Amino acid sequence: MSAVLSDIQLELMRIARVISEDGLRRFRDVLQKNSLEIEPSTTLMRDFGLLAVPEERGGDGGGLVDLLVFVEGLGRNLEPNRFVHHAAALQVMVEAGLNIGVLGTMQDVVLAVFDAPGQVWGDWHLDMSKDVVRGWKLAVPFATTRSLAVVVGANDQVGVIGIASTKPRTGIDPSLSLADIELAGRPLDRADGGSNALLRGQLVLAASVLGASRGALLAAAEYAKTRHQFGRPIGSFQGIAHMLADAYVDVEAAWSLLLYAGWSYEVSDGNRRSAAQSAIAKSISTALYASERALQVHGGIGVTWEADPHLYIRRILAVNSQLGQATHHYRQVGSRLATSGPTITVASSGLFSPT
Amino acid sequence: MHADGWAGMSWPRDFGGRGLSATEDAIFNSESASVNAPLPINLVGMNLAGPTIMMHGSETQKSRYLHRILSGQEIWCQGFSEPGSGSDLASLTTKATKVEGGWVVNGQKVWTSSGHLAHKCMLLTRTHPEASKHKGITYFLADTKDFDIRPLVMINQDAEFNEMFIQDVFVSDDDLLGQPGDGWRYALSTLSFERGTIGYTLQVWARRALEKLIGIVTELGIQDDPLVQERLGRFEAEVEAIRITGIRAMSSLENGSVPGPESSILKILWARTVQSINKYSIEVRGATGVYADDRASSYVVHHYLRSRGHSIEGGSDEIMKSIIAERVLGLPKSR
Repeated sequence: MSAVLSDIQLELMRIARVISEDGLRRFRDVLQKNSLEIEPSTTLMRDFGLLAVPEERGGDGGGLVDLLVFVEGLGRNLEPNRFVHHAAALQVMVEAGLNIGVLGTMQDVVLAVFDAPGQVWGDWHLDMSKDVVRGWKLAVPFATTRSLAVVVGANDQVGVIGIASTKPRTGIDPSLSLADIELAGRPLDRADGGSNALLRGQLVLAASVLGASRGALLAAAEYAKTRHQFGRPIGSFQGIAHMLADAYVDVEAAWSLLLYAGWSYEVSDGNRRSAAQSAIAKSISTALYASERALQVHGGIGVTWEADPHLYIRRILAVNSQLGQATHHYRQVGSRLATSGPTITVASSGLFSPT
Repeated sequence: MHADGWAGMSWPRDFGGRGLSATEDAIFNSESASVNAPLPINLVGMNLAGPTIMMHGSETQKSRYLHRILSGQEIWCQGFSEPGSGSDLASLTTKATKVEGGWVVNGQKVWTSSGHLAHKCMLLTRTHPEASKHKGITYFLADTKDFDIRPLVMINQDAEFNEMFIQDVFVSDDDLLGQPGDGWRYALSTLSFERGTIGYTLQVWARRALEKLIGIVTELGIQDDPLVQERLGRFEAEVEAIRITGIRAMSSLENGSVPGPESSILKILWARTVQSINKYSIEVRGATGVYADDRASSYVVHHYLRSRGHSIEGGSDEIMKSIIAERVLGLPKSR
């Protein structure tokens, strides 16, 4: 049993940081001008668009943990990019056994989850089993009429379908290019097990928000080293240092849960739903908490438009909203635990690279 | 257990162990813990004193002490903390003065687990009061027979720790570890063994607390209450986070890194989680949760009170946070 990141995973982490090096600057550009530069989306989609999709299903191979590590790295610098959401949608298709071939070459795919305001997690209305599906999904990142949508519907169904029309919305993180989307047509493919498959995709989004929270914390730590008050760097005060350390503990806890959930999907572990929901719920609450602490460390400058802390909070709030409420996930984990008890799997080989 | 080779799984074969990895040792320990097996009586000897002697002891000391640790013939305790030196361990004042053939020790130690059972003590003393506080410390492998050892009763009325009063106790030169004045370096080794070995066992203790809570919930018939389910889910996530973080810490240890800040993260997570689970285990019974004349509820309260010590013993939460702030986040020293 070994749980260290492989050399390939460390390299993916490094590449992610290089690609997203000026991510914050591009994020701010979108916020000011509302236009997203095409690069490096094109590069990412071309070179990594099929990462963690099995080769026998037309992908580039690699495991889900590889993808989580890569996405966490992009998240740290708030990389404004459709890639993460594309990858999340693909992972839903992988888990549900949907035909990746329906995407054609380099077709964008988006993940459409919620179809009512304030919807409780798991309560999807759209009936994907019909020959012709009609209805709306709300607040879908990066959706255009050229995209295909992976749609989670009622009765635990999930399908891939074209987008008939879009109603663009402005989000608090405009780099996500939100739109309400209208579906009207025949699903290209569909399958059962939608809620389980959705969790696999949401792990990718959770890795992205957790990366953002780590980025926020590290930036706040840098600030605490250079900002002086009372003749000392403020990071030398325990009120500051311990606040950041507290948040860091939770970020590491959530990261452990995410890596483990990624592994449990790679090996189709019987307990993977609870592993994913624990990880997602913990990421949702931790990411926002950590980014709020990071803002607090900045003091007055932290609540100004020109300072960065609110960029992290915008990204985290926006992507969190795609993950459902932590409370619902925790409740489902607890419900399974109370009825059947935990089923712990001890990995016989590498935990994060089961080869 | 020793006769059948189950003691010192990760000790080298030369010293009577099995030469297995830390992971294999951890699996054995966690399996033992999961069936409520008591901790080995000489835990301090096997996990702390033994490895420290292997690393810093003379050949004579190795051959004299190591096999007696494994066989349990000699129980060890740790004479580090003092009434005036808790978190600031290096400020310790227990004094050792050089005399013919050895040293005379005077002072007081506290929080000594197994002190009442111990034959031997890893004893930190100040021998060079003129030197800076980290340089004047000397480490002895002392006999406890002349120590005055008294139990410390805790808030749950258990007495697992002791105070040790040391008055004009002679310690032979043979029991000096390494060089005089170099003791802080050896003490850091002992402390790193303490953090390194405990990681994987912690999760089992947390898991057991959660299983007890599930038992209470089932017994009360409230397992369908959504608020209860949500709490159980949160606890499950925390316990799993401890387990996986423990595996990550152990793996990086096996890959050659010294126990790092992961163990501080783990320690904070574990203390917080066990305390929360125990607290909720009282609350969930309502008013009857505080009966002291009921076996089930008093058992839970007993564990809750004990767990308050988890965020203090072995390095308080505040010390752990300072370690994380300095070593992971790179912040300046915060004291």
